[in-house]
Amino acid sequence: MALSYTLKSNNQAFAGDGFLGFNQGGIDYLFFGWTSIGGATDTFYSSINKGTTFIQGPALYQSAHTVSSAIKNDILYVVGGDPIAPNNSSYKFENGVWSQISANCGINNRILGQLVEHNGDFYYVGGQVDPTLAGGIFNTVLKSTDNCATFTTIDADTKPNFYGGLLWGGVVSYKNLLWKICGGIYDNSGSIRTYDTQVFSSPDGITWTLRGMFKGIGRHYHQSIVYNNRIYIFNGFNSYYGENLNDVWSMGFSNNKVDWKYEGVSPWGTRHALTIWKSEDSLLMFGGSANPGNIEKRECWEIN
Amino acid sequence: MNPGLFYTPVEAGDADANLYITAVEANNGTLSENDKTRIQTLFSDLKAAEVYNKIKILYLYHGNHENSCGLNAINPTGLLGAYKIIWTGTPTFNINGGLIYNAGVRGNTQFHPDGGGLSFLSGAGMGFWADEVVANNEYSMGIYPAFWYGPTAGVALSNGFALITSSTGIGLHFATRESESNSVKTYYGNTLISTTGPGFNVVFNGNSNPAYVGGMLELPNTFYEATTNVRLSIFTIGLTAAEVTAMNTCFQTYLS
Repeated sequence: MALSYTLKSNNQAFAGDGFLGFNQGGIDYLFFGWTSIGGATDTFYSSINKGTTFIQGPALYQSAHTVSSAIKNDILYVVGGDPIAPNNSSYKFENGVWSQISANCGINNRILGQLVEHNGDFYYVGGQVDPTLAGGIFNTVLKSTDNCATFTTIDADTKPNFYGGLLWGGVVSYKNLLWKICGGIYDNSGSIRTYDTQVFSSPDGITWTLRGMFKGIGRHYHQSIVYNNRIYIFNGFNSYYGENLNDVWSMGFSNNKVDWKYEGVSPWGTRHALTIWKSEDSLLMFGGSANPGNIEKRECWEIN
Repeated sequence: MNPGLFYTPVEAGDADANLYITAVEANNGTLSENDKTRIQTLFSDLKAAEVYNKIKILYLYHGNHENSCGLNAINPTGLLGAYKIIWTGTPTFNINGGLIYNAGVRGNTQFHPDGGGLSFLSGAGMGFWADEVVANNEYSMGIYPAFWYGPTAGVALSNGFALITSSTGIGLHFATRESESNSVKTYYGNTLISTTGPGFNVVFNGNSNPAYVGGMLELPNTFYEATTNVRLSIFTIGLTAAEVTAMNTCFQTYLS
């Protein structure tokens, strides 16, 4: 069934990319974020009408964007910071309150990886040393069995073809497997980034199976999310093919086979570092940066 | 018929092969039943050999029409990322799949290997199946400045330039840089012809110079035209020697 889109608001008072979206207790939250004028932010916004209007809240515990986060039992977990201010902290957001889990959870200041809850444990996949290609990337997978208090390396940097690096928005848990979809390497200069097209799956974060190539072009800063029993992949960035991308794809998996479906173009057009999150029985989308000029956007859409 | 039973037809053949066959016919191409069977077998064999998942682009040049012959067999959607060939000149094709030399013809794949998703981590491979002895010193297929960049200015698969230097005949010509390897290996069929490097590093070939079939474009505007007839062209992530052998076996069956 094709996705349907409803514009909830097209001109919020704030714009930005790299927000963290989360729904808890009927409230939709947008945490952190980034603008070209103000940089990373420590602000948050909440909505009780599924993105029609947002109210700004008090300052958060850090300024950040594109943070690594995951949800378990309706609790939001965040590890580390962002390329501007990396750190080793872990926090959780429960019943409307933030609390620190650990000041040093053992992620070695890595940035731009993806945190995933999978079969009750947390996995931090990939990441970079710093926001340059020269700094190098992590092909490792970290695992936490104590709700992000401590992480240990479970996969050494020895997997052939397995791309770590910028996996924000590119790893999900689906059908009892971890899935890594696209990614690449971020570099501040913009001209020497890489864009992966490989799709891997893993039951445990250790053994990774190449499932073939993503059917669109390679990309990073996309959003992958499980919805309606499929993985949906929204937008992304590739400097070789027009920068911000507007295409939407979905992937199913059954009988040990992957199937791809082109879902058309997003009504919001080109976008990278947009934020898509589950809001009860639908998805919400906010912000991101668009062509031309990588301009941060301020509209919110509902996706069914 | 028992009204309580519902019959759900199951499509025969490989689903991905069916997509390609359908796309060929939807893009002005014509296919014989025998060629459809060959395509089905090729897809099945590549999957059984566990090579299919490592292919980024496969041009089989089927349908005897410039629209159908430009399709990427493993992603024939025509969308961004499908890398449908943009032809210069009037191409001529083998009616059973293949690109026949015609002066002034070249094919822009729209594929930038690094921008398209290949890197030193994924590795990379490219090659073609020659339908005849490759002409001396031609650049049959290539990218410049090179995806693999080293002591020479680029890599082209041919009898000249950087790699396959011995006279080669009908069959698979393939170069691959395995994941995180510093060398480029070239194969003729199953045979390792050369190992070049170390000293090769991935460079970023930018938006202006995609990979070509039918020759190689050297920036800014010098095109080295190939004269060799080919049956297929392929881009992959890095392949091991065993995978090259497995892939070659699949192509041998397909073209036998």
